[in-house]
Amino acid sequence: MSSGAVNFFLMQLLLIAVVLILHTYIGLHVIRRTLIFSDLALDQLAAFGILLCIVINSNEEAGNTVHLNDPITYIWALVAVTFGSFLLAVIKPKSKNIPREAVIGIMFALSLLACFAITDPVNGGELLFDGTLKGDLDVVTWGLVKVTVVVYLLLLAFHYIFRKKFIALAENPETLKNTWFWEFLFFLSQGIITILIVPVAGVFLAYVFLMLPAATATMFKKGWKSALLLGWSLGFIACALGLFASYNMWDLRFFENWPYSSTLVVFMGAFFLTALLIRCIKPLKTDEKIKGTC
Amino acid sequence: MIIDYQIIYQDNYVAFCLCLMIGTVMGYLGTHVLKRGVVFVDISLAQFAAIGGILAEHVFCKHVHGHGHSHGHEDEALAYFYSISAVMLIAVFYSVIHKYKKNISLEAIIGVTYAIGFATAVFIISICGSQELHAESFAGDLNAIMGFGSIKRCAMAFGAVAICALLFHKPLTRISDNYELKKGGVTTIFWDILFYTMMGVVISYAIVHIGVVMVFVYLVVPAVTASLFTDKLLFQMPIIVLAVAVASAVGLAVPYVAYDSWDLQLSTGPHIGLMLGLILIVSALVKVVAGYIIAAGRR
Repeated sequence: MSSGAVNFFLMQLLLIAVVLILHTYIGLHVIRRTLIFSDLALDQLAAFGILLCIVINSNEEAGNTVHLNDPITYIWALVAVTFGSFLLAVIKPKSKNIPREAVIGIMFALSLLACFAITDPVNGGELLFDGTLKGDLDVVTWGLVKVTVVVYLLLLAFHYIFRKKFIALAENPETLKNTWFWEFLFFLSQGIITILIVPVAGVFLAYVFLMLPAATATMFKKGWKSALLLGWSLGFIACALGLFASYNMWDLRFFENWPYSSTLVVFMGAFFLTALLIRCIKPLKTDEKIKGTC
Repeated sequence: MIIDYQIIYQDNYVAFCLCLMIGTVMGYLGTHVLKRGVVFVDISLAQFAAIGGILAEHVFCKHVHGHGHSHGHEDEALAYFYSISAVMLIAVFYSVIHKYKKNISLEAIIGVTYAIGFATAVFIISICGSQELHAESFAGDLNAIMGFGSIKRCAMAFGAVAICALLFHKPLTRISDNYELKKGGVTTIFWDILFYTMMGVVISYAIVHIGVVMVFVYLVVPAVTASLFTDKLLFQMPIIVLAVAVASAVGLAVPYVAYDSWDLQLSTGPHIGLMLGLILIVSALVKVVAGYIIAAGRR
């Protein structure tokens, strides 16, 4: 393997390792609180911010073209996810016939349709739309890895300092004052990681990074620390295998044309389905159950 | 370019009837989905219907080109067969897995399988040598409708599901009302599979014309709009039909106005969806303002 390839794989693995820590932790919250699609809604809103920035600021005649990973797109994405986080925190339907997930789902669907509507009349709009869904591995540079590591460490520190508040949101929300404010901070931190990950991984891989390791771990571990450790380990192994397969590391014909992001999801999906099968064969004991999630 | 307004009017009329039919049946199913708290089940079923179509097109029979563009009726029927089979498979999976206690909710499993389904679709397309992921698969292409003939099969499928909904309304409602309790054994699983199969059939036919995301929008948004005002299905249905009719009419008109005024060629699906979203936001605001006014009046 050439030194360039080693450098590339190291960069990818480091990024995946860092990203998975915070994603798995936030994923555990999302699973326990059954706000399953909140991340997908925020991912799609980040994509909307990016696409809106490109459509408004690009001027083909003047030779001005904004690309998916230009710094200005991150600012627009931040504005979009901040707005989305606020809406997610404050909109809580009172009717028992309207679950909170319905509001989240509608936000996701409308932002996806809005992405489609704003790129539809633009030249090459379909490619842009496509790019936000699938991501682009080529935008990964050491610079982006450094920024991601710093932001993720800051967010980890933030979540560690206020862990009691966030865990109370998941376990005993009635004991917390100003619930909406802590919910807003929780969704905003989720949104910030979304902004960094969507241009690289695309909307769906970003969502899967958050959900799959956490969902797999929750089926086996009740405690926060043990679930985080298990989720991170399983997620990292699955992603590493997916990364090697998508680059046909073993030079086998079977792995030819395997796309990056969906291969990672397929590997993580295989881990999840195996875990689900094991859990169905060997059901949970009473003391292993988490209140409100079965 | 000379536009034949007579043809446009006729095709738009057909598209409007299709939207009304899809919106009404999906709206009814949407009220059940909201009661069950499995909001994302249809987007997941739609994704697996799409996988069935992709498998038919790319893997099992290379000469089938999706539902709407097949070379013959046999190929088209085969593509529907694969779609409905994929949906049935995942419907049975959800019905059975719901009975097990595993520390994660059914909605979480639905969410995760949806993402896996989407990635699998991209994966199959990619390993078959194509890099295309058409945006139409999300929002559909109602512009492709040419006369009533092109929606005949869809109308028949929706008619059959509407009859099932009328016949089995009571047992389906009973289960939806007590979904969290996980009561009953094989009978509940049977009604559950029937419900998801009804969803699967309408979704398999609807995604051909309106795409995965619009299927979700038609299912959830009108049902939520109606639920803002009433819990009774008898009163919910007129609200659902009205919201669907207004959004579909406006959404279908937007591309023609844009073309006439600014020479812009737009798709119809997203505008219908955004219009339904606007109706929901306005309805929610009306409800909040009315609540304040009533509360102030009481004081």
